[in-house]
Amino acid sequence: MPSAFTLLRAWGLMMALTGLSLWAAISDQSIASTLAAMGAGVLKAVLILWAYLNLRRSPSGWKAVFGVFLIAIALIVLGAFWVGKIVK
Amino acid sequence: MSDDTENWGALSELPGNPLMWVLILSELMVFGAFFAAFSVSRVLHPAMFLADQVRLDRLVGGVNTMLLLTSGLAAALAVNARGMGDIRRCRLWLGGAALLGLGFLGVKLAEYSDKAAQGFGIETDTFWTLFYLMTGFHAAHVVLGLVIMAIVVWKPSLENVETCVSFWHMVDLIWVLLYPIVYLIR
Amino acid sequence: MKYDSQKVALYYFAGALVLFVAQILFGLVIGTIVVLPNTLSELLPFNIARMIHTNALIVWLLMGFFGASYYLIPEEAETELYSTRLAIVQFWLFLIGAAAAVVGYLFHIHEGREFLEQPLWIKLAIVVVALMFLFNITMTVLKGRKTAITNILLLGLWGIAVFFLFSLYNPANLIMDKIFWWWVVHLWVEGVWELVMASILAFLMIKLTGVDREVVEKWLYVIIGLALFSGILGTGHHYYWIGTPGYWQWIGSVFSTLEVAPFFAMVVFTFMMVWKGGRAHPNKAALLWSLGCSVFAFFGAGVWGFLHTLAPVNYITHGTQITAAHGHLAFYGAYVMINIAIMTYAMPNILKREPYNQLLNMWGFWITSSGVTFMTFALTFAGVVQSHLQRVLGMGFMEVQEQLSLFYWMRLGAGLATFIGVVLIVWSLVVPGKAKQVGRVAAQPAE
Repeated sequence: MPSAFTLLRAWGLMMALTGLSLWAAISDQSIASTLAAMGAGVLKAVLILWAYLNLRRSPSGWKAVFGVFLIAIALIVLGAFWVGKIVK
Repeated sequence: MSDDTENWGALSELPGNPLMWVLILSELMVFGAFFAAFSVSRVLHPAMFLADQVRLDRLVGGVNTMLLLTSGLAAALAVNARGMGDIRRCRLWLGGAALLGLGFLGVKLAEYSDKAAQGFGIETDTFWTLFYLMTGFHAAHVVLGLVIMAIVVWKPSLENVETCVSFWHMVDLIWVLLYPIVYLIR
Repeated sequence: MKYDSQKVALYYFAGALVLFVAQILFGLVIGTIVVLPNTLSELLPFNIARMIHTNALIVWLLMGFFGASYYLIPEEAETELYSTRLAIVQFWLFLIGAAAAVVGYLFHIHEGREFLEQPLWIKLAIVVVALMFLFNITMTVLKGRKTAITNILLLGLWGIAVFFLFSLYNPANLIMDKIFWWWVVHLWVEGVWELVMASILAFLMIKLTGVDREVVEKWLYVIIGLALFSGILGTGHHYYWIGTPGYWQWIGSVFSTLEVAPFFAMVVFTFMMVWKGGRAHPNKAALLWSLGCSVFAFFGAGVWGFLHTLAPVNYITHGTQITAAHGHLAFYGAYVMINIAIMTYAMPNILKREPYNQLLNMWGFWITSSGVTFMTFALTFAGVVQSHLQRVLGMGFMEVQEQLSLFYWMRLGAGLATFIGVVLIVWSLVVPGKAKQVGRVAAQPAE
């Protein structure tokens, strides 16, 4: 089980990431802020898996499954965003 | 691990009851499909999505993200407490997690009623259909998570706590992806 | 076979096989009418023959499920059936009801609601039959051992009965009518029937491969979890164009796509069990049917279902021959094959013989499967052509039908092959011959 400190650190990091992505999105609508928002989301998902669910101790097969899932989501979302920019 | 969670092959390696993980993995597929559907729909209807997305309050979504993440922390601490055999503290942390979950639902309800008052319903257009379906399905899972939590507070075996909290973390995980996709990226 | 009352399954298997042959015969009739429209036009119009084709299918599959339950529940629960007499009375009631319905159809007595054409009193008789059945098996399970297989089978069978009640509900609003209409057969085949199928398959895997019950039960839980998760909301793919709100297109598309998952899990399950078990059970034909069942169900229900389940695709293909292709392969793969599998396994045990007519039975398997597969491809191609001509180019319905006649002839040919295969299957099951008979005290291999 992760220590309370590990959990607290992950929580702090995720709160900061939420604030960061919110700030980036509100401040402008550039590609950088899009990347920041999506990146922060994926990073938070990784932290939830890593610390909250303690999957860093799980076998590499599961890490691969969740990794592929997150990468696929990020690629689809950002890919669609990018296509949208070009078409526009 | 108890008898129930042994010999499930790869599923045994995950915390809590393996059947919960069958549900969680199915949920990830469903929400993954919705994320993809949302992104593709935005490419197909850029003007509609831009006009509608502006109506969403990003701060409200951010507050809800923070509520869920904090609730997730409390839930993780509940597992720790249960692991150390402290059932009383485990129940307290679960109670805290549930309260924050209720807070999330409260914010969500306020958001829905605000949007409804502005005349945006599930059939207004594709954006709103997807918005209500995705956030609605997610909120339904928060409700389900709260129900499971109530049962686990009543019967807090380690396996039950782990099972419940695994589900709760997955509800978090879906939200932290949903939030940028639906609220932030424009 | 360990319990005397399991024998009652024989009634149901026999009844099911008779209706199976009738179903295929009427299939041949309507296949002929499609290509030669004046065939029997006065005596047996297309709509009546089709009614018998579809109704007989459902009734014989149900009858097979009843028989399968009467066979496997005493064995799983390790106790005699609660009442053999009740089971026999129930059988005759059901068979006479079904026969009366068919005869009534021939005289054009029906309610006209597609697939639920049965007159009200027949529907009520079905409810009574279902109650007798559920009472009997539930009492048996309650007094005996409870296993994952009996629990899930019971859940599935109770579900069948509960959802059938919606056939009695016929609201005046056409949209409401359709919404609940789908609850009968489609919450069956995409929901509770899958529970029945998976539990029978699990029973067969335990018996045929010798893999530990513990392992099989875990697979069973995963499969039914996936089936219920995807199947219930997946039924939303029937709500696309009947006047329901547009969000059903999203719900139906997403969840029904996942309906492939339980069928895929069943394929992995059966092949893993056979591979892990490594035991050579003498009833090879039953094993062939079990493996075939998971594979054909995956293709018929899973892949062919997915072909036209996404709303934008279904917008074009809805109600074309694609649907017919899917319907034939799915029913055959999932529910016909599971019935034949359990019959092939159980009948030698009930008749207290070594597995008999194995080769003939397996010929039946291959010929019928080839027939249905060819039919599926013929109808799929017909459906693609039809979708294009009718929905994309906007040609008239009858004009398009002319263009499809080659495919319809091919379908009829495939139907003939299927019929030959079915005759072989039925023959191999009901004519055990005398040569291999063993004494009443013979050991039951690998039970």
